[in-house]
Amino acid sequence: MHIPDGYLGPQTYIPIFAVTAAFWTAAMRKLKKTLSVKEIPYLAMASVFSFLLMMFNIPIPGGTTGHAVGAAFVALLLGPWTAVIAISVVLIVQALVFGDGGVTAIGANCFNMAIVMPFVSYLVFKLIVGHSQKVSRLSAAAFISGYTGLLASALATALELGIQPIIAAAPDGTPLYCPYPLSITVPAMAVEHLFLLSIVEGMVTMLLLRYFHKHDPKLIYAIKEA
Amino acid sequence: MENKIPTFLLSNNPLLPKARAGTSSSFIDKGIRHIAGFYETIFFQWELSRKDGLFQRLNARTKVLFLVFYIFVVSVKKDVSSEILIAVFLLPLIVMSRVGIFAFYWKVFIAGFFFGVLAGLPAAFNIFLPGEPIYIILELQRAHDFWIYHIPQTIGITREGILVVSMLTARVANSVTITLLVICTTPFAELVKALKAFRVPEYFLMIITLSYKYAFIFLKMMRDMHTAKKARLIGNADAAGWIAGRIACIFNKTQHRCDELYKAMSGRGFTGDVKLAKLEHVKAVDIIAGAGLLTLWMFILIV
Repeated sequence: MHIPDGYLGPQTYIPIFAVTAAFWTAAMRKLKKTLSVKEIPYLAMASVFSFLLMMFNIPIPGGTTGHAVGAAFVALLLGPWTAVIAISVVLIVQALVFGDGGVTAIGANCFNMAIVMPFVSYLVFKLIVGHSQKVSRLSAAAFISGYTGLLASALATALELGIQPIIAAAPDGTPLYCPYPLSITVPAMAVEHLFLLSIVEGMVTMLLLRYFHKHDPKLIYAIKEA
Repeated sequence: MENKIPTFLLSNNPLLPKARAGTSSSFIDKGIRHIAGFYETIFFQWELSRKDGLFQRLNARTKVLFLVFYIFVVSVKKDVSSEILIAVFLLPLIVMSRVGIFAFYWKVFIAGFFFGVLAGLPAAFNIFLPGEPIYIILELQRAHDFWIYHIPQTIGITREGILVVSMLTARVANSVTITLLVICTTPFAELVKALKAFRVPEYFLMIITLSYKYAFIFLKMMRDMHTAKKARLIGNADAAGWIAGRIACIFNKTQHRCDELYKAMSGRGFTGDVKLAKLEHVKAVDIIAGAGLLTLWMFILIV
């Protein structure tokens, strides 16, 4: 899911970086208002938690691997704006220390995994749960929110890659960046996420939400808001 | 020379869980090895950043500017010859930075191979990218159309496809070279401090720094838990249950550690105002190197 350098043209990575930067600014302003000083280290811990989850790559038939992101759970536990910062921090550290994901693609990777995913997950969760406090409904909502969040993130990635041959091609039509059109990128990303990785993300989100709901429900932002 | 390692350490321990037939190890084991790789990477970069080389002597701000400008120029170039020219310009910088040229280029090769050659290879065939085949692989009886997909009668590698794969590989390799050169010659703390000069909010930088430092603690915790489990259990007893329990346990420990950290921070006078250490003064060597790299950058951009 981490887009490397060379796959996105400046026509894509500059505007996406601008959009992501706008979200970062809004998130920082919101957090400064709502987050107490005590919760600042907690934000860093949420980042580390997501970092740990991303280290466990699950083999996918075909030879590649994938991993859970943890963004859906962070969004439910700490709120989507907090997740924007927490997951962005992980992605920035990964790009700057390990070269996981390109430097030019930092904006796009953060947009897909730190903006699209937490907000989609949070909205889906709220939509399903409503005002209910039933464990079965919370569990189902958590699973579906993790599942749809990662799927939406994968689709956003596929869209960014798939539009490259349309918006960035040489005069003879040869693609200059990612050579695969939407007809290839969307099914390629969708298949592995529909049937495996999104299920893993959904399971992780559900198990953790159940754990926190059982032991310390007051901590869960998405339930507090209800 | 005879080693002095006790024989019981050299033999396979029958109590350790065995990998299932056909698989080398579970994804948990691989994840744990990935964690070990984290320490290795950090230590390797820390060692390289302490060497007396060209880039190590430069201010982190100069290097961040180099990273941004050169990655940009790599991304806007539209032909393989320009990418080769950039690679040639980068070579003396790598040599002068004493980062271990073979190990360095091995990493670049791996990234270029996986993200350039392997990921781009299907585009070399006329199934994925239309073009005139120059090397025919397969001749079908007729062309096939399936929904929005078209399979031509003659399947082969095209000239356009080879160009696309070469361009992608060259761009990935150059981008990785630039990124590695900067991250291998700059301690992470300096890199974060340099971002402060580019108006990145200090609040944000503090979260990055805290996350980076605490990644070490939690990775160690994760590795210790796994080792403890391996030492106590025989076989893959309820792996899924164990993983779920450990994820929750890690988050729980995160919470406790967070409380301790806050107490430590407030005990040292933290009130919410984030103040990072001041940036180093720009030296003459930074101005000269910066001007040289900028001139070179403009030359590459124009050529």
